[in-house]
Amino acid sequence: MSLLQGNGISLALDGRAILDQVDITLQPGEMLGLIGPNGAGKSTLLKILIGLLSASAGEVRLDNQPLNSIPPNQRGRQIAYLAQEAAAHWPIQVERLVQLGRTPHLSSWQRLSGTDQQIVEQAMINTDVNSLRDRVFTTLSGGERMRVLLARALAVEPTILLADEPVAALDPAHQLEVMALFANHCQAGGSTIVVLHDLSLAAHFCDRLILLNKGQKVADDTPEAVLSEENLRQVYNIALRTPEDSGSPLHLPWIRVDQ
Amino acid sequence: MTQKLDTASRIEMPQGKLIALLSLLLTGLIVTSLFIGSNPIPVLKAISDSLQNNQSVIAIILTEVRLPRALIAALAGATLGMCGAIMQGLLRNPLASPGLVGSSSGAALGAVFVLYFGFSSLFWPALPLGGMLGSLLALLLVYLLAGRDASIVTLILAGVAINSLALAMISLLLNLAPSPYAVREIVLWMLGSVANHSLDHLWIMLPGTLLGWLLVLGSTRSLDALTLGEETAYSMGINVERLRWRLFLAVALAVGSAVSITGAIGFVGLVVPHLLRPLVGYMPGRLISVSALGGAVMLLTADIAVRLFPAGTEIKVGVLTSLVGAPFFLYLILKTRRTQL
Amino acid sequence: MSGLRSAWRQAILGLLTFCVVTGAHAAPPQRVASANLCTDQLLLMLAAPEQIASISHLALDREGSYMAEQAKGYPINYGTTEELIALEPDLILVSQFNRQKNTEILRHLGYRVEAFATTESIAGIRSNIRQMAKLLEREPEGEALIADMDRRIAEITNDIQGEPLPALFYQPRGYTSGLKTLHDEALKLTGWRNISAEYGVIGYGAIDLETVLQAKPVQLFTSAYAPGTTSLAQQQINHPALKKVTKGKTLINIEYRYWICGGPMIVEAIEKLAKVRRQ
Repeated sequence: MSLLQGNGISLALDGRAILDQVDITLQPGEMLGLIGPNGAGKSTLLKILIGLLSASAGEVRLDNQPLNSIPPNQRGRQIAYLAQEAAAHWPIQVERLVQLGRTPHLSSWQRLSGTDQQIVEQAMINTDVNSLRDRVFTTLSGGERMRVLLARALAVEPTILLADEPVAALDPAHQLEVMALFANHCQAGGSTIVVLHDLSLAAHFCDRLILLNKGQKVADDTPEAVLSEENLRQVYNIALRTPEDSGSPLHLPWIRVDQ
Repeated sequence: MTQKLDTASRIEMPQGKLIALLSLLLTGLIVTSLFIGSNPIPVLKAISDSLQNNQSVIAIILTEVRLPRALIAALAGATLGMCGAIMQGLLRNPLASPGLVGSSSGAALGAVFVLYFGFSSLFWPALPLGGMLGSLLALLLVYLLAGRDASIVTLILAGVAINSLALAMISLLLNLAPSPYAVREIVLWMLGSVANHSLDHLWIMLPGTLLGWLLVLGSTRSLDALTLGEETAYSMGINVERLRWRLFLAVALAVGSAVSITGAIGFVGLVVPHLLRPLVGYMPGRLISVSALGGAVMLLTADIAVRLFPAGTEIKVGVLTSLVGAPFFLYLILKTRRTQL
Repeated sequence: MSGLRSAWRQAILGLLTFCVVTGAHAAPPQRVASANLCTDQLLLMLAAPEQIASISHLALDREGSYMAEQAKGYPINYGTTEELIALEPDLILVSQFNRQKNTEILRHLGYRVEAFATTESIAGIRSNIRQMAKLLEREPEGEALIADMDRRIAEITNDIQGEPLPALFYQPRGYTSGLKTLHDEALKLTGWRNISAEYGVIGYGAIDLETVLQAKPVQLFTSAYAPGTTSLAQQQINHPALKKVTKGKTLINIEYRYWICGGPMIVEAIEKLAKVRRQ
């Protein structure tokens, strides 16, 4: 049984199909990469999977229950979402921001308990932001911010993490660091869906990839199978160089090709 | 800039201490305001008279003139301060405030319609209800015009448009009103005053104001979560749509009732949350109660200052808050512009 | 530029003056036009109906005009120069303080314009009545009107006894009538002390609510225009503290039309004030 699944997800806006009959499943412990060119519908799919958008056709199920039948708090405890270009609107302290991750676990009147605080501490340790805890979020560098936002998401203690282009604005070192944190989450039994543009990172970190193009699912398989020469030419209009490094291929977009 | 923000967070105070301090200040100001009037009266004697139910003139002046004025100022100030904090938190916009998003002028319009055309004499709750309805409509119009996650400029422009419309309608209504005194009262509605009110007015504004405050209770955690944006807040189980409606309604109820008595007192809702935000570590939820106290303190201080002018000058309290608030507003615009660049 | 313009005006006015026939005042005026509520009322009281060419539209307003009933049927005007000229009057009555520009132009055109002062005392009322009677050449009627007024005032006020009681006129927006007003004189004639005059208000001015309360008025009067309408200004005079300090007595409205113009109708106001005083 899959943890999270979307069956035949379609969405049309103003008569234009954003998503067309997409099936997606997420297994426990799995790290699933969502790739595809700009406008393929990756972010939209992610938003539908958490209920931010409703599909015009198809159904999302969490733990085999229809997503919209699950109380918001319960959904919030199970799925954490890292929005694209996530930011804080006020210059609040890092520790406070991470504490916000406990929101779905607390009622309006409950204060943060000792256990909650421990979870927050652990999330900060895991993402290596403990030293930043007293800093003001808005003064941090891009990499630091992403780690803090990830700490917030981890503080939810979610089974599922949905991340929309979390590494787009990061330098290579930070990209690797953040991807490793997702991998850790999955190794610890959680599951992740991550939207990526970097094919190498996708191949390196994901257990499985889904390739979307113009709202349709083109491929859904292991990274090796999905990142085939044929798929990439067809979807991205590119050719890759795939030098090998200690047995695993590196996927480097090299030239544009016209069909 | 970054340096500045880091230092700003260091002036944070423990919430309990901050609330205690502001409450103390507020109590002090209420007591002080009882001592200030056109003629000195023996206030302590007046207090003992009114406690013994002795209807002496000084007791009447204390309980029927000075006390209502102080309480109405405190209540209206608290409402404006609190609603400023709510609007800023909800729209994640430091310039949102009841004055800017149209809820104050909308409330004034509603109240003017009800008062001058005789509906309030038929049915007293008509006055605050008119204020509430006007407030809600103006707020929704600005919100629809500016859209969600509106930029600061868009919000200001939408606010300017709706405020001008409300102002035009108020002057039109006052010109059409049957009372020959109506036309001269536009200043009272656009700038606001807490003078010459009675306990009756306090009772009229109290239910809606309290109801508004009650609606706000329990929304602090959600407002904090909104710091991370609507999508993230939603992902943490918050029903953003419901929160928005609830807080809009709360602002309309509270501001509508308060403004229907005092007129649209400007800038309290803008200035107060801004000054207090660093003290609560920029947490929107914590800012609410603190801004309520701060708003009461600001309006009461302004009203005491107004009363210290020589008798007969009749300066409206709203003139003073605007004199302080408008330059502050400009400073904020310049500051936000710099941050955005 | 402006010199040129005024020269033009002089020329045009001169030409017009030349065209207007200005008769000598051998006979009593036969076509009197009044452009002011106060002259309207005195005119209606003293003139023979055929002497009246026109009265102002305000004379018909029941709230402001004591003579509204008698004013029916006469041609009305709105006080504009054109209207007045079109009436071909041999006497135009205006107020000293209103539309002075119009008065100037009318005089320049050769019309006979008589201005009346506003009255803030009963002596002033007498002199205005005499002025009107003289202009209309109906002096006996004028003296009779004055005698009647004086007699009635004396009748009303002669049985008022006891210490004068503190009272005042409290108008919307906290305005009041101090020294040198008809209200002041009427209050004093009927056994009241005028709190506002004692506080130092001269003419019409504002008085603070706390000051009113501290003077412990026994009764509050108002002569507010447009009763029954609402505004913040009008709410102010119904402040509950005032009712408490007067031990539950409500504000008494003495109609606006008795005061707005000085005239024999002051008797009605005095009668009402005296009636309240006797209770």
